[in-house]
Amino acid sequence: MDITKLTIKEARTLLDTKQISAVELTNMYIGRIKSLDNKIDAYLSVSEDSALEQAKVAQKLIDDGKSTLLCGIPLSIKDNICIEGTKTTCASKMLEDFVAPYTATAVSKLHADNAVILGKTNLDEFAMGGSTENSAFKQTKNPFDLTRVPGGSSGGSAASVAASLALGSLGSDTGGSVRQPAAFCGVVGMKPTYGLVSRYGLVAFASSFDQIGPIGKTVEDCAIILDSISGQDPKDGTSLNYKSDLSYRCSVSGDIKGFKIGLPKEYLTEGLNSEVKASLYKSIETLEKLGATVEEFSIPSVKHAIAAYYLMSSAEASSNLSRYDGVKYGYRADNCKSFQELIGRSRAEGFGTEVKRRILLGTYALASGYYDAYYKKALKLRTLISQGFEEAFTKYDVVLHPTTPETAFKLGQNTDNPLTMYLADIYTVAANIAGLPSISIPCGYDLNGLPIGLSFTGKSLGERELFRAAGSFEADFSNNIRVPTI
Amino acid sequence: MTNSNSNDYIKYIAGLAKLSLNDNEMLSLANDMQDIIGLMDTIKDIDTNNIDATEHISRVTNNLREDIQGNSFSTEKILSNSKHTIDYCFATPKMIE
Repeated sequence: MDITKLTIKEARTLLDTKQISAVELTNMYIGRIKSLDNKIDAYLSVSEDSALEQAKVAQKLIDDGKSTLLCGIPLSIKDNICIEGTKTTCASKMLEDFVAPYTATAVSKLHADNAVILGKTNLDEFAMGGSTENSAFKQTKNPFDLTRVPGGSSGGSAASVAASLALGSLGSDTGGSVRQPAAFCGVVGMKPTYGLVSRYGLVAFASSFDQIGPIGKTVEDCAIILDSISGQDPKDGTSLNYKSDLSYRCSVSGDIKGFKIGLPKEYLTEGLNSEVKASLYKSIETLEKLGATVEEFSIPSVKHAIAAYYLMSSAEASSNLSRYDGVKYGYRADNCKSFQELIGRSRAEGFGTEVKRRILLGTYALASGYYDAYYKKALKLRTLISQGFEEAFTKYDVVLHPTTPETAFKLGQNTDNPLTMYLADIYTVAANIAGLPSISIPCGYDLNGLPIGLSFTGKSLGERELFRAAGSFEADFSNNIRVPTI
Repeated sequence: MTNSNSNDYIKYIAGLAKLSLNDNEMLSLANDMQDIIGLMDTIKDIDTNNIDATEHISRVTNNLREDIQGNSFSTEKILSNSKHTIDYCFATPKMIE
């Protein structure tokens, strides 16, 4: 068995046919983490003992013929998703010692399916960033090139899957934070429709954008995880009362003959790297060969998506992060003589630079005299962008676009230029603004051997069409998939 | 925001955001904000008259549960992440002079 090519689907077969036990499988991943993660730095913490306990329970269920699709499957979890009794740091000095008092619903659902949780993965502090360089604790590297970033903010999650340090992972996606690192690391990442997966236990960044999403080696693996974690949750008032009548996994194998696919013209302008563009057009040829039609169309409002996204998400972040005051939990500054000093210094000493930038931008956008010009204007653009996509989906089954304008950049390349970092989200933020599902899959490699991501964005609750389109493309492309050499 | 007033204004915003930044950090963040707000300014002139604002993308409205008492967290558990507690309460420096 080649662990670097193993998928959840294949592991399921190995477990159910008793070719390997859940404990052996878990030990394989723990051993690999111990020997390789010092190069990748994907994990912030590894829960070896509890993982092996979970594997033993899973094996008993397998032996009794009661296994589910994820029973005994080792997964990693982004460290902004709570697991009771374990540290949830958000890669921030602010939450360095925070032990979660409850478990996120998405993780509870994985527990209910007897998945094995290996540990918590690195991220940009509070999920703010696109390179995982904003972590207060370590720098995760791209498994395809250790001198490059894995993307972010779910960089640890994507790297853990790409480097086969987990079979799958949960990330969170506020403006592309699952899909962009998945693209950079050559794996599949999916952001569900807003409300399809409960946000209970996901540490809030921008509540009207945040969604937990799966990362896996294949489209089908992501569908299997989404089948487990989706569903209404009384603990999240925004979670939808919706359950697909057919599992997402079943949608993956459908063909796309007669599919109509739209390609926004606005995403094909300057800034799109020539190799990424060439890979996009090659992918279009593949989709047409598979029976789909692809045509360009226009959503003029998406040109303003980046500005609108950063205004709205930062405004929400400035409000959400006001809870960190050094009193109830989190970092507390020493020797403070007044309550105001305690709050001001705890926040200044506990937050990193990018988090401070977002808090300042959000506070600025909400401040008296600027509210209408910035925040309210962005909310109106949110309407226009959502309407643009709604109109597109009257003509098209899915919308196609590059995931990122370029492939993984060098460590440190953009750390002094936050604006350049923000512009890297240019193709991913619109799905979050409109609350739409979107998936990124590998579609090629550049001349440096770095993965290129292709995205399909669907209508609200259109996950099945997404999995169908992505699954069909993947079936044609699968022989070209490369595994990083670490 | 112009260069001349940006530092003072960022200082004011940092105060609103309860961030006690030192002078070097204030200067550095003011420079960053100058660039970032430049990008945000690109939306100022877009005509959005007669467009409704979308406050939230959620399609759920009035999602209410039955008014039934449920379990809550224990006091010990909630206090366990605080760095300073006294007599089962969060402790802070004196607030009232």
